[in-house]
Amino acid sequence: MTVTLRLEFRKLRRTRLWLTIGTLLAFELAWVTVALTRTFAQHGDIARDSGVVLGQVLQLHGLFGPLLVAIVASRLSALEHEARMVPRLFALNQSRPSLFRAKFATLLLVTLGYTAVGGAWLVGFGAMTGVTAQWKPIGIFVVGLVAANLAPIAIHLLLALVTTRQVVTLGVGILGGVAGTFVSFVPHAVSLAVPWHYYGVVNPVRMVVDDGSLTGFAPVEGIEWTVAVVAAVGAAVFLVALGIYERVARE
Amino acid sequence: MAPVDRATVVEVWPRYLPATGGCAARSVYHGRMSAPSAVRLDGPGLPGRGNDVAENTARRDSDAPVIHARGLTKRYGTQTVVDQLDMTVHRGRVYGFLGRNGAGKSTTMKMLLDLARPSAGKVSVFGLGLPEHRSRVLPRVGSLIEAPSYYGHLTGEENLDIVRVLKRLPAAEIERVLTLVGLADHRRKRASAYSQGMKQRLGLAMALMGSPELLILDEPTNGLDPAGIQEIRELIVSLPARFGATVLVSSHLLSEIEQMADTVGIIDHGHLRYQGSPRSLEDHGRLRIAVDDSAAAAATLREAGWRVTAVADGEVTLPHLPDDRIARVVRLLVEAGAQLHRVEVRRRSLEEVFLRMTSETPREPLVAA
Ligand SMILES: Nc1ncnc2c1ncn2[C@@H]1O[C@H](COP(=O)(O)OP(=O)(O)O)[C@@H](O)[C@H]1O
Ligand SMILES: [Mg+2]
Repeated sequence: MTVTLRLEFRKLRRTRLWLTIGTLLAFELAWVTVALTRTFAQHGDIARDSGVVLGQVLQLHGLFGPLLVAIVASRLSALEHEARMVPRLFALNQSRPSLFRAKFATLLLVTLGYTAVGGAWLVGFGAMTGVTAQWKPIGIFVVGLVAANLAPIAIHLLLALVTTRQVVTLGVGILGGVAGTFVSFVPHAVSLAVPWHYYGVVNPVRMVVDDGSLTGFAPVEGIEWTVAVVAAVGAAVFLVALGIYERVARE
Repeated sequence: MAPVDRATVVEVWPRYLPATGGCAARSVYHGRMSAPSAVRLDGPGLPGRGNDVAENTARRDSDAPVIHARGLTKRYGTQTVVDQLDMTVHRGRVYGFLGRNGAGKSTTMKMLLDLARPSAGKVSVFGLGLPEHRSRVLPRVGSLIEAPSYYGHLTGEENLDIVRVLKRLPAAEIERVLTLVGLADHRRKRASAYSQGMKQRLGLAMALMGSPELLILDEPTNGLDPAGIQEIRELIVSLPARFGATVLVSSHLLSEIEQMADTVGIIDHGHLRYQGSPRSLEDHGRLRIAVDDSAAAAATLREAGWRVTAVADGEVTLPHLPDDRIARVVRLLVEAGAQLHRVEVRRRSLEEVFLRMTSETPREPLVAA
């Protein structure tokens, strides 16, 4: 597995994927930063809380998360389609599940790296602007993001690998991103059935609003369970996608 | 009628001229009548092949075949692309898989690599059934299927490195195959910048990584210039001797196959219409003698008990005869005072045989050897 995973990164050499990801991340972070600066200015010290930061991030990442996954999944697959290397890899005794798993792991690592860099930026920004960091909800949020990524990664990867035309997976990514931004308007139970909503579902704190103004933050009850459900659904979707790919990839 | 000087106008046409000849294969032989009239396929580029094929056949055929397919069938929807194909490829052979475009060559090869699942029938490679033993079979096989495949944004070397890692080979292997296919000077160039021929060589290099026991090469000389074709052909032919490889190589060009293969399989509309030595495909031909007085010559021959199949103006035709008997026929005619202008063996070329076997419309199998 580690060997095939390393190969996936080698195949990305000299592609513009890293630049694309960097641009997307910079764009998302700029957006979050501007939004947070305005919120801090509007609501004063009460808003200088990691709860506000997490809330802001979840709103944006509902849009950027699916896009990131769709773009990377599409690139990882288009690379093989353009090279006509998929049959060759199979003839070289790389199994279909092995290829799927390697690409899945690559995507997971890329999204993890994205989260890490973005998180570091926000922690730094928070420290500079006097935000009190609450590490437990931040930790849950990060774990939640990883869990939230599983299902979209599996779905996008499957789409990108079985369809040569990347319009499909990119289109689904855009729709998923748009759907993701509506997470706050949809009941929790419904969101659990929409993988692109998972980025919002895993938010561990909610704002307490009194009379239209922010008065504080409260931890979301049972968030650990929600994250566990999201992770379990993600794992199940991964296994199903893997099974489908194994059948479809054979003429 | 003046007696003919024996050393002059005796011409026999034993050499075989494939693609160019079109109709009759002919070559000129001046002098004695002992010229070999059997067609030899061990032309240039095939050292040591030909005569020893028969003995090798006997010895090697007792070994288990490297590829063994029985009743192999592939349907795409309602279209049957490969139909009840029985194929046997023996160790150390170069098996030429010949068929027009769309005949089902690539599909058959894909089934041998578990890239396509047969709709019916069985395949075993090295005596191991597919797909069950896929992971034991594939590491021992090198392949090149359809158009060359490569990562265009990676260099030739980097492309080979991916294959090397998957095959768990030492780093030196890259150097070896690059040299083998003549790409050593272009290793650091991106594959997308390669010429068509270089891309094809890169594909071949990938197939050769690790010196596999079996090579499955689908139209490996596609896109190469004549010099490149010659080079790759020589490389392929040398593989059995170099590392004991067995080669299954496809082409839609007869001239390609007959210069490489010691066994031929001809596929047409998914049916294997012939499998065996290219020699037994050949037409034995007829003996044609041009004489001044064909009626008299025919009478002389018939009187002496020879079978004359046709008498035309200035020409008598006999069935194909071994060399010593041709000499007797010539002597008989010369002694009877006939003036011989030409003696030739005319045969249908392999090209014609191939064209007759592979038609535009599907037919029932003719030969199964
Ligand atoms: N994946 C596929 N789906 C449907 N038809 C196919 C597929 N692959 C090949 N065919 C058809 O099968 C026939 C044989 O194709 P192929 O094996 O590629 O022939 P060859 O390699 O001899 O030129 C062709 O008519 C082709 O259109
Ligand atoms: Mg083909």
